[in-house]
Amino acid sequence: MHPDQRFITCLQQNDSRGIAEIYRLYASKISRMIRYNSGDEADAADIMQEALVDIYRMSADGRFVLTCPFEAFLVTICKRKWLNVLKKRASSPVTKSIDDGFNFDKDDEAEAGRHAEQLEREHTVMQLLANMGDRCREIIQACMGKEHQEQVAERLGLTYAYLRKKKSECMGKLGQLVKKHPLFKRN
Amino acid sequence: MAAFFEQIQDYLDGTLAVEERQAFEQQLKEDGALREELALQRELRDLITKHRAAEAGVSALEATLRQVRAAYEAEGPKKKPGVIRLLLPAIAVAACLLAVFNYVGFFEPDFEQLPEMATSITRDGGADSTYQQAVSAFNEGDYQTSIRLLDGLVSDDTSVVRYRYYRGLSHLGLAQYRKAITDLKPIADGPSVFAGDASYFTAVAWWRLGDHDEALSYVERVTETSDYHKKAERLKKKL
Repeated sequence: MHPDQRFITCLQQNDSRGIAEIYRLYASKISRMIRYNSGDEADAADIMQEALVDIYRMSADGRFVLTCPFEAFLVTICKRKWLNVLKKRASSPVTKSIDDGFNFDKDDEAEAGRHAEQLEREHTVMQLLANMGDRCREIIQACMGKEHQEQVAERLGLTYAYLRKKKSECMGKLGQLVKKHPLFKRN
Repeated sequence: MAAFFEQIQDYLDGTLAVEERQAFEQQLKEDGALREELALQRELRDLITKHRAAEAGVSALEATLRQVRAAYEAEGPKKKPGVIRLLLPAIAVAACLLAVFNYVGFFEPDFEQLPEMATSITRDGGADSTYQQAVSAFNEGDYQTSIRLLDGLVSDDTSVVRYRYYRGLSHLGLAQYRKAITDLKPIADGPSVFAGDASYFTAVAWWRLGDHDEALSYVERVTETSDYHKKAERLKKKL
């Protein structure tokens, strides 16, 4: 575990002092990277905020172990997010990668890339779920909470047997979508 | 296929009867595709459960992030509306120049971005403590302090290249390019492990002073093994 795990804890605990430290240490660097790559201050602030929320979501269960400097992890996520924004904004596909000007240790860079990929995979699954039909999304989300499935069925006005059948069907469908996604195909 | 998925879900929910569970586990041993699907479904459930639980804290975190971001931006020099209004014409001109500049050197890196100053064990407790203070000051961007501390260390021991290297970088951080060159050039010209990196930063300082010939002569010394080789190549193109 890297000593910068403390920043992950700050996000998990919504610790404003720790979060202020994250901004003090890294915001200007993220901003500089994005400004040098066709963005502005507001873009940088939005990207950094999104990245921090994603890190929180990814680590919320307390099981995520940071194995590289937080800076390398944050920069990698912001860089990938910004590249996606540029791809969406560009009329023709962006083929260049972002030159971030950072010089991280190669191992740290590799670890940061691994964490960022995990984050992207999680984000992708949640996006695929969000794009499923309303009924499937509602059932899956309801069934993944703490509420007993019989209560879920009652709340949704379904029979317990139908809920189970529908949940299996929807989870199967989600699994198929995930397997077809390029991010998962390459593994 | 539906029964296949239903069985997986029931297994993960723990709702299969004992005999059914044993039969399913037996099937798992024999069927690789089933094992793969079970692993995927387990991963998806864990992930959705985690994200669903996290959702409860997202709005509070976003509120904190907005507050911290506002405070951070307010502290910055940019938040002076009167000054901004006064400078608007100049900003507009600068924006046009930037657009042209950006067109020419699209995705240009920050040539002056300084590395983190590495913590290192030095020769005695006193020097080590001062060095650590210099590391903290440098990494926080307080280059006045890092220069003051490194001045002391250099006068105590002129043989430690590291002190002069980071003092040179501190000067660069303050845009004191001539002073940066005074420290960095002898290192770039010398045999130390810092020579390659010092060559790059010496080139940057010359470039900033408008001496492109000197900048070019130093940027060409940055070897392929240097962390700054890529940036040096970009700078070379610019020169």
